[in-house]
Amino acid sequence: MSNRRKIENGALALPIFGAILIVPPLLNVFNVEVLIFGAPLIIIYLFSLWILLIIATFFLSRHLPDNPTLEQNNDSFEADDIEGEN
Amino acid sequence: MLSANFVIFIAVAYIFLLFILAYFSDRSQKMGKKSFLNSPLVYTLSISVYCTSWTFYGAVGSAARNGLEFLAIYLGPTLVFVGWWFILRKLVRVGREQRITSIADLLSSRFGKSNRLGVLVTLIAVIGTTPYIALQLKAITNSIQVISASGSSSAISGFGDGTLALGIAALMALFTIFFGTRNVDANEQHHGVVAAIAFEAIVKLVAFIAVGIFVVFFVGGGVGNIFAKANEAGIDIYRADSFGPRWIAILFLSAAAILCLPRQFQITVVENSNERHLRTAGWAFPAYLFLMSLFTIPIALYGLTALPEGSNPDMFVLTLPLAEGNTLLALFAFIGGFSSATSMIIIATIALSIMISNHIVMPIALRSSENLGTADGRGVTRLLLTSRRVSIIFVLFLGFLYFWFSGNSDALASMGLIAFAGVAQFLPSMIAALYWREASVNGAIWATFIGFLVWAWTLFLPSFETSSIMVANLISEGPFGLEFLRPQALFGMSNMDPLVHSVFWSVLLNVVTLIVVSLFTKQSSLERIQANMFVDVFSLKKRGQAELVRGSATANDLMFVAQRVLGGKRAYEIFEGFAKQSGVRREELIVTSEFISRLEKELAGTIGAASAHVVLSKVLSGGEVSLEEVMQIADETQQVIEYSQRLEQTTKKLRATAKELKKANESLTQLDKQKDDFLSKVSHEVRTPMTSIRSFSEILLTHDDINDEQRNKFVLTINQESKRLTNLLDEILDLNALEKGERIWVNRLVNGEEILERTINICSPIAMQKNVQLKRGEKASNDNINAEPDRLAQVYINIITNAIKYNDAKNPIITISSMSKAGFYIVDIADNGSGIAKQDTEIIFEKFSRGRRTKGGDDGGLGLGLAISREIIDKMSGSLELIETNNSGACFRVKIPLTKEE
Repeated sequence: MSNRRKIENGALALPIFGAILIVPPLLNVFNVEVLIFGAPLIIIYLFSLWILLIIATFFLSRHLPDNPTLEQNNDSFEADDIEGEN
Repeated sequence: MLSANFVIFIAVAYIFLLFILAYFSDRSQKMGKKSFLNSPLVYTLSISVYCTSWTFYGAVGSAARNGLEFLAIYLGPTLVFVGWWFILRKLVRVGREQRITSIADLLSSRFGKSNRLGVLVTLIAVIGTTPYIALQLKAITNSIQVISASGSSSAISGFGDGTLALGIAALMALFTIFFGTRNVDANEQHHGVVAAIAFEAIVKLVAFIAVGIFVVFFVGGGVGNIFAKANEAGIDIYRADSFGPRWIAILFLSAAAILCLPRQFQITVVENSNERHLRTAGWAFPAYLFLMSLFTIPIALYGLTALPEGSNPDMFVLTLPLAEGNTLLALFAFIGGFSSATSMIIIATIALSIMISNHIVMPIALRSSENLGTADGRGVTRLLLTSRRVSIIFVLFLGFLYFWFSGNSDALASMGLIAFAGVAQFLPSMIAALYWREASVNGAIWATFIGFLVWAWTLFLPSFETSSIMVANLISEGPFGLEFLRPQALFGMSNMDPLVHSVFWSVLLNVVTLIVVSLFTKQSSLERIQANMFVDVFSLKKRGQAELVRGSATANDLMFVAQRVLGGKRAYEIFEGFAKQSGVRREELIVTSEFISRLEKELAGTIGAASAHVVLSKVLSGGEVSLEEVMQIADETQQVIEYSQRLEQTTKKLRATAKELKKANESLTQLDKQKDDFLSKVSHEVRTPMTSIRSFSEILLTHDDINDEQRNKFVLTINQESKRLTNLLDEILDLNALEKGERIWVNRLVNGEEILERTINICSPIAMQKNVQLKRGEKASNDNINAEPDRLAQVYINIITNAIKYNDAKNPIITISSMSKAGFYIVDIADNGSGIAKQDTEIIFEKFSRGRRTKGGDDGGLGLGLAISREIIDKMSGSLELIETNNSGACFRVKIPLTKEE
């Protein structure tokens, strides 16, 4: 349960981090006249960040719960009740 | 070289291929096959309808002109899809639960099924999308010109631009009508179209990557080489100025567009056949965008360096392969651009036609005809299909007209971002629809309307600057000379980028209006219910809108309506299904509110929520259900929920009380048993001396022949036994009084050591008498305690005399030591006898128990001493216990808290 929460929170944090990383002022840190493999650093930075976001989403999506609807919540309520009777 | 006729032939053949593809996909879907068409891959590919010809050709142009700015257009949607778990998932869930047919339907349904909002959203969508369609037409004609005119610079053989565009628009209309309006579907899903769009997605991606690989690796000599050459040619490859407010504005706009563009909403939400597909699209769609933009910069830079100055960078994708003499690749690139244009046109037209027919045509038709449908029983279906077909033609023709009149002006080039900014006006209301319960219909209408007005004034209108002198004057001087209303410098904000300026003002005023108006207006009951349905879509139980409509219509009346809207077969299926569910025959079906709400949803899936609501309300009890009634029903539901919650709480409380009672009962039973034990023990203890007293006195009474010596002995025994009896009764009374707290008890500050010494002095004669050695061990340094001195002495005496009495060692020694430790004054009284068995360590403190026996049998002890002692020490907030030591004997420990010295 708490693990599920953590993954959901991760799913929220990912786009927020992504957004922070692709706007100034952080973006301007990489906006310098440096070449890496012949291409400007800023281009390499943006594309690598992009790839990382895609990979992170891929792994997060596999661990996010399937259908967290009320049915599941109900189950846990019932479990509580049984415990209460014990 | 390619002739124009050949290129056009290829284009037509390509569309023909789409027809075949869509036809077979539709057929396999109809046959109910579980094909790959329902896979998340097809879903993801179809979302790429986002990449239009504007991005296919224009991204390169933008990269050539504005550096990295084009990336923002891809990164915004990437962020939205990376965070799919939050907004997109909720959007799709709501869309499926409420059978949403378009973005206009979403907002209208959420805000109390308001048709005014539906109309407003539809109009904005049409105004924003039409120029966008025109842009696609322009891209197609331009690309045909470029690819065919490269050999001979003549005009396209026999065709003008207009005829060409009209021809393409007509073909598109034909395709869209054929596959977009074949039937009025339950969920507005068009599998054939989606399959075609997914195919086009692959075509444009492969085409673009092919051009990219060709440019980078075959002619450009690698990425590093391209950058190096561009740098040499004096092109600023770093573009340090790229990331300002405009970058952020475009990021925001593209993120909004991926949610709000009618075509994106259609594909992502309405055409979604399985919520799980989002799971894949969440990473796969960003990956698609990534691949799509990977080669944009190298193509742009190479184009700038290799092609003659003045070449149109928007057409680099075509002109580069042509310049290198690779006509086949150029043709392929042309097909890629063509496919990205056609896919946009198809989906946008379908989305708009649904919106127009559901939110503009249907309401008018419903208002004008009291009697639904005509005698042949297929009225509404026919009306819907006709209105959609007409809308498709209308929208495409509008796009063509826009293209025709704007001609070659700059108005079109910037249309992509302008359309983004236009549909971004839906975003505040859409987010509020999903997350803000209090957002009201008036708030949404005014917010969208004001946002739209500001957008039109600050961005849409200025796009005509170069084609209209009036607009140009307006921009430089403001309306009626009012400078502060100049479209690109509202309130004197003149040094901003026009796009940033417009987005800032329109979105700000939009959001502010939404919040303020929502806070100041009251929601209707229907709104409140719908708001809960939307906001709580994940936590609400699937109970539909069972409370919403109630009436006196018969199943036949409803069947009549359903047949007209959904067609006979589908209506029959729904009624049959529901009848089966409730276990009756279809003819006997009783109209329950549950059934009505389900029917309303089915209808909404075809004609939109607002119209469905109106249709059903007309049938049911001859008018709309009064809001008071709805409210009352909603209140009743609320009451029932509260009642059941209360009931649950009460049950829990009862359960707890029962538990406590059970506990109390148990302890009472135990107490009762203890009392019985106590009584029997007391009786036993009393009986022994009484018996001996009685028997001796009887002897004295009946036997006269007893000598004096014996008589004295008997009297002595009687005397002793009576004493013992008196002692016993005294102790019982004492214990009783202690337990009940009847005695006045005053603790005062005393010296523990003093009392202990006094006790030892009292006990030493007895010890000496019995040959027991009393040894004083270590002494406490601090002995200030709160105690009753006489009672404490009583406890010491009791323990010491016990120790003397029961010590069975050869050289009996009793060690008395005291100490102060951890806030306690502690006295240990230990003997070296045989000790007390482990299992008796607690029992000895109970009444009438004797942990050990003296050597000489009965000793007159009553077994109350330790019980009394413990009671006494308790009263001094201390404890009396038997502790374990290394020695053989027993060791009693008295522990009393030290008082703090004042």
